[in-house]
Amino acid sequence: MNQPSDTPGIQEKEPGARLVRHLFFDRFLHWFVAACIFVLLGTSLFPIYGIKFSWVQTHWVTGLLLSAAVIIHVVRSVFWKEPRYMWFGTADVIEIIDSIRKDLSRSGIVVRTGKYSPAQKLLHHGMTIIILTAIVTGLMMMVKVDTPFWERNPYWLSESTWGIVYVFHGFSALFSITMIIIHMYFGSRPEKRIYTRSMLLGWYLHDDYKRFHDPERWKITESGER
Amino acid sequence: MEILRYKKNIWGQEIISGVSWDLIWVFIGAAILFIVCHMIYLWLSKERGH
Repeated sequence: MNQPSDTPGIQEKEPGARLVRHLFFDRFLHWFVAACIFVLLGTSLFPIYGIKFSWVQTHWVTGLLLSAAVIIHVVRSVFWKEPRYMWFGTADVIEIIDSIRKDLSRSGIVVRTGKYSPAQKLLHHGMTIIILTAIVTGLMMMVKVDTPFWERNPYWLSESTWGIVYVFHGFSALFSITMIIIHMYFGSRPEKRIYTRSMLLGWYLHDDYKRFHDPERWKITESGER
Repeated sequence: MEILRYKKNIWGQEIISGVSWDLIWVFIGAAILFIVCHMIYLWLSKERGH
């Protein structure tokens, strides 16, 4: 039975009660994008480091699948979800300062985040810049590849301009490696496994919602997800 | 360590051909450095009574 809670705006639930943090489709999209990125990195970097195979077709087809997944994610986030939950603003900067103050001194206030912490938002936005750079430059490079839809045209840009396109594409690959390692590190940390679990199974404990989140900044519905 | 790779075009001019793949270790190192810094931060936080 639901009872009033110590935390304003939150109804007390039975211990172990769950809410939905990520719907199945969002989880599928997350792991699909992750798989695409690993295939893209594998097909581009293995040949450079001596593992030779026919990689071009797998690479561009996976790149198109990643582009489609990103478009679906953007449309879904804007029209069916709450994009403001991912907005990084002044409140997040204050939250970071308060967290550091609390962590490194004996004083300070308990910081409750929205649906996503400032660190999660920064990681998301970093990956957004990296993936969009990779997609835009990758789509430009598609002009140089024969596909069932068009014949290659290597002269669309000058050789030196192509060099700049390759630089941006290459840097997006390298930056993604740094971000993936950091993301996997946080995902495997004991105190962060609640987020990893929710990205695998969808659910989140109501007790964790009460402890770590501000109900004003993450409003849960009856199904528990927005 | 080079940041970019270069090649010569048909007129013998040096042009950029992409990033230097030796940089991969810099980017992996940056991630490891970040993780080490975070672990030090957690240790400091624990030391100070949280």
